[in-house]
Amino acid sequence: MRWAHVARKDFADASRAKMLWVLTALMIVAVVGISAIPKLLYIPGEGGPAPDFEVAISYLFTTMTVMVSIIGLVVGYQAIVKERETGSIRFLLGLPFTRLDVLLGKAVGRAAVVAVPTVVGFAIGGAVIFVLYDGFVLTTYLGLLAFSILMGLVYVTLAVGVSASVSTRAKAVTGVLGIYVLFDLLWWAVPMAIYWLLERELPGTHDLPTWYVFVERLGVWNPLEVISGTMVDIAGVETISTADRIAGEVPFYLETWFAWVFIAAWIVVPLAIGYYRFKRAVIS
Amino acid sequence: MPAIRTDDLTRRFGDIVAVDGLDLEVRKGEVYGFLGPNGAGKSTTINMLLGFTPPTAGSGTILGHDIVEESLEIRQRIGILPEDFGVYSRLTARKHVEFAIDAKNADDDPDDLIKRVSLTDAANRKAGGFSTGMKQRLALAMALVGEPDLLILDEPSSGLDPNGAREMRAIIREENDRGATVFFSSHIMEQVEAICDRVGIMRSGEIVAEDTIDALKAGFDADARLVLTVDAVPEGMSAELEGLDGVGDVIVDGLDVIAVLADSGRKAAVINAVEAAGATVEDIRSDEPSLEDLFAALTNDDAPFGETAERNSEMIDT
Repeated sequence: MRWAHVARKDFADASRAKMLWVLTALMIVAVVGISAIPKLLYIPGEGGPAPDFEVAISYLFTTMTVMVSIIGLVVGYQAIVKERETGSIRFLLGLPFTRLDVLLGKAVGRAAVVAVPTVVGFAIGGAVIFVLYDGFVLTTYLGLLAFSILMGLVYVTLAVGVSASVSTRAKAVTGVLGIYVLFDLLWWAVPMAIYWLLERELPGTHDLPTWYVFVERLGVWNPLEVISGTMVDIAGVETISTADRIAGEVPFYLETWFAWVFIAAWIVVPLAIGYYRFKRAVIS
Repeated sequence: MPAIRTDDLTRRFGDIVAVDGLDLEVRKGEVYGFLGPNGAGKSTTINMLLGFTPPTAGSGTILGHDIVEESLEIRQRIGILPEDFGVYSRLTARKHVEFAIDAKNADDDPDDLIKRVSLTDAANRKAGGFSTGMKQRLALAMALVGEPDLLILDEPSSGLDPNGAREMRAIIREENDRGATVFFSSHIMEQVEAICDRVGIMRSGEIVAEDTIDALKAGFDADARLVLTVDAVPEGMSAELEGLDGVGDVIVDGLDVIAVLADSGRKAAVINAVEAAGATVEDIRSDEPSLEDLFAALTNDDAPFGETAERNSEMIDT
């Protein structure tokens, strides 16, 4: 378990970074602030019943997913490339660690670093939500916490993989941003664009070809969203099931459980590419 | 089994040959000074030994382990003071040393090591605020973890004041007395004279001389320099002097005439020839070459001892 030494050292080092505490503060403000919005907007006696826990958690869900993905990328992108730029990698690789030890230790250490603000944010946010809203459901809240930690892991390993692949921080930022924009923010447009090129019309919501949903699932967010439906019970979010969207039978790879395979790939593939490139990197 | 052995070790970067077919052998228990000017290929060699840079061709072993295939075993048994390293700016000196102890599964007391390198006062300070010399001491403390069989120190004195450099030498001696082999690089000759059993001098990716300091000096001693200060330099004089037996290069520098003598018994002949050419000799100096001259001769084309360098390298080949 040599990588565990790297992970422990990295956690000790990275958790002393100002950036982490800025992000934690931001997280607390976001969790508390966003969850309080429905309560603040509600004027008693007008517009239906008072907002409850379910309304608050759906607000929180949206915020958390954006926050955690950004924190994961920010914490991860410097993991290895910064050590190459500052030269501390010479200590690390001068000690008895393989480059795989370094990569795994960094991924685990940084995932732990992301989990810290996530847990802190949830603990404080949980207290606020408990006080402000009726009907607090602990399992739902813990489900969202677990999902957020999973998300943090996915985004941090993605960024660590990029960090291992490049030689400068500037390239790491470019790589991480590029992947985030393409595979996360804009990925929904990719199957749509392919569909348009093939059919010369925009897709509807039903009778989609199987490949369409498959391409959707290749993005980062889509399989996470599918998994979130099983981990967090959010009222008011009625997603159309895959069976209703596609024409014909649902193939196994588009079933809900298989989304875990896509997510596992999003963790493993960036690390594997990072390892391939880092193993061949000349440290000079 | 030698501590370090390389066999035709080569590294190219594009068209540039940084290390060219290096055959190096460092014996167990010796202090080996790896010398050469900046850019000679010393760091690239060390980077290959440590597994930082893969060789383009050739091979090497450290303590019997292959530098490419068994780098992990090597790094478990050696201590490294790298060149151009950076510290973890948010971690204290003690945390750095503790990390190295953890990594090697060693049982050293971090405070003892910190004391050995005279960093006790700064043990709990974050290394980000350290001066270059303090960082160098910290890196040395990390290198000493686990009583390594071999220490590889890349420019260990850089950033140290004279006092720090003296302490560094004292630690190198202590480690050597304990039984460790020490291999260190330097671009400053005088640092090595006091502590090295043997030196290898590198230039343009190749070893151009390798021997004990005494033997290198002895091989070089034959080439004393005679410096004559004259009132005027007659035309054609230097060509005439170069024609004399036992005289190598003749350099005229203002009113100084510098003759390189392969045979120091030829001083009188040179002085006579200068006077015969019509110049008056006003001052006579005879320079026994210093180690620094030797180094310059071996590593610099323009130095007046260029011939010597070639002869020395031939000496090694045979």
